[in-house]
Amino acid sequence: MITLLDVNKLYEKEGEFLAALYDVNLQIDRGDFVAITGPSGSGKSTLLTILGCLDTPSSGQYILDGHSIDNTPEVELARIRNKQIGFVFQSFNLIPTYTALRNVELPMLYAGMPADLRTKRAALALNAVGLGERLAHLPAEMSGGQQQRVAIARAIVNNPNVIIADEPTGSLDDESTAEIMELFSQLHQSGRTIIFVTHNLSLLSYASKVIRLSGGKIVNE
Amino acid sequence: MNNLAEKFQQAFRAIKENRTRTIMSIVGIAVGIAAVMTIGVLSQSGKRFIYAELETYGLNSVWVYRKWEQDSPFAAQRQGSGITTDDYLALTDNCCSEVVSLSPVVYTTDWLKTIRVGSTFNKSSVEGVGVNLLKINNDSLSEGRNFRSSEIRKRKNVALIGQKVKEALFGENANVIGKTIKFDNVQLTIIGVLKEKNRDFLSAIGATQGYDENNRVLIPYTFYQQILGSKDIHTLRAEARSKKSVNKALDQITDILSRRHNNQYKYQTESMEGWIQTTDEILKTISILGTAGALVALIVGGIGVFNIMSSAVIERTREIGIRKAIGASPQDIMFQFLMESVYISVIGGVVGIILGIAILIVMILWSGFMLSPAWFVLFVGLLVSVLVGISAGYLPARHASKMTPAEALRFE
Repeated sequence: MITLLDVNKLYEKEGEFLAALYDVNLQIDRGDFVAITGPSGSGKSTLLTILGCLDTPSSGQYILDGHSIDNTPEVELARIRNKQIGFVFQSFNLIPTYTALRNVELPMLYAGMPADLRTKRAALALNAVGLGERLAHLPAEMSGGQQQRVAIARAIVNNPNVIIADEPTGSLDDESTAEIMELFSQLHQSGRTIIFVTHNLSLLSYASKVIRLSGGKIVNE
Repeated sequence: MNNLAEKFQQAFRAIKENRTRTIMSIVGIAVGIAAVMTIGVLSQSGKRFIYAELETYGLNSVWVYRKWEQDSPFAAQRQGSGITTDDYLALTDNCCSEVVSLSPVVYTTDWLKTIRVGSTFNKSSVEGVGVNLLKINNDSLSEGRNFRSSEIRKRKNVALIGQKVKEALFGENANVIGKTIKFDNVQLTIIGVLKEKNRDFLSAIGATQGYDENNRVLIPYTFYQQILGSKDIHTLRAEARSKKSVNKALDQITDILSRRHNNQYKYQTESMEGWIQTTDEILKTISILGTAGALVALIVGGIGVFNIMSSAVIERTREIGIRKAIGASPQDIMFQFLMESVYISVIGGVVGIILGIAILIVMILWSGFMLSPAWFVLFVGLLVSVLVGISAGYLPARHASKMTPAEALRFE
């Protein structure tokens, strides 16, 4: 489903090029539950942004569902992010002035779905993550765990095949962490591919595959 | 573009969240639009007033009078007005193909005369004229009748009086036909009252030089010549066949006059075309100055909108990243920020139109002139505000749309 071939990612800083990813080769199959771990600065988040089509590799090839992502126009990348990939971030990244319902509706708005269907599906998604009573709440009126559940509802509402999560429990207490990981397990069981980055070694047990990164390279898989 | 209404709403919500800067930008645009509107209405209304009042002279009217040589005050000058009754009679004898009608005008340099009825008096201008003057000057009568040719020929002591003369000497509702007035110890019988003419606007801008059409006493030119003991005619008033033939008509009259006097006099000519051109030039200057001022205000407002949109893009970089991460295309982001910018400008435009209407109401109350806001000025105001919004918002919106999602999400 996902294949990376000799992927490098370079960043330019004050005239010097720094390699965030170095000759990364990777294969993730449909239905995998992948954990990516490694020390700070090892390239975990960079790898995730490339897998999520939020950024493009400096060199190498990224193949998603049999299609090379290289040189894909931004409009098409936006469509892939909208339909095929769901994102969950460490800091939730909800729009603070929108209610939970409107935050979850947003991907469907960009997918061109009619308003009544959007509202219905957003409410269902929020129900599915246990927030059926919080539709009209703003992010600031909810706990961290609840906000992350809104973010998960937003990530799954367009029914993508892949959920990509960058430290999804990094800002949560143990109880909320368990709840969120349980949600990911349910999504995995429903057939979705889950890729998440974590520092927390105790969460690796949820994964069917663990990728360890160090200095921009995969050190074991 | 899908779900357009929702996307419009998103843009509207976003501008509500940045109230202070939004209000500052709105004020800038509003001042510009109010200025554009005020200038537009003043220019349009001014043109309408002036044309309506110029029509009271008759748009095909021409004037011919002697040109006095001012260059050398010590040079000996030939006596007389350079136009005599014989000249006038010669000119009326089908001389000029482009002249439809002609009337002599006889007056003195101290043209305000005392007119009396018993112990009541009024200072009015007295002019000796022919039968055709009313037609040439676009005059009509509210009471009575015009002069008859026989009255002109027989130097009858009859008069047509202006509305103000009537009101001053007899009162507004008096029946004055057949009544007499006294001028220079000469008794005049009133045969008609001239319909009131409105030249308030021309008078307000000083174009009538104190001459009041409603304060005239017209008498047969032959009778006035008899009083003055002269055969001089001071001005020839004529109506040209059409606006286009005005210059030709003037040439025909002055050629004949010059020939009849062996080129001893030079003649000054005037036509309404000259007045219309002068009026257009004045209005054009006012419009250019006003438009320049309005443009400066609009540019300042536009820079305000540019500023607020640039700041919004910086402040909301992370939001742009989030939106892109969940599927917003560059066009979606561009549309959202451009719409925010257009909203601010259109709100500014509407506030400006309201402000402009308020300014015009104050001006109407202050000046007494009924200025009418033309619909196209409102349309132009709104169109200009949309254009300002698009121009000012384009670069920030484009910048926002070009960010990569990863770069935008990393922004702190």
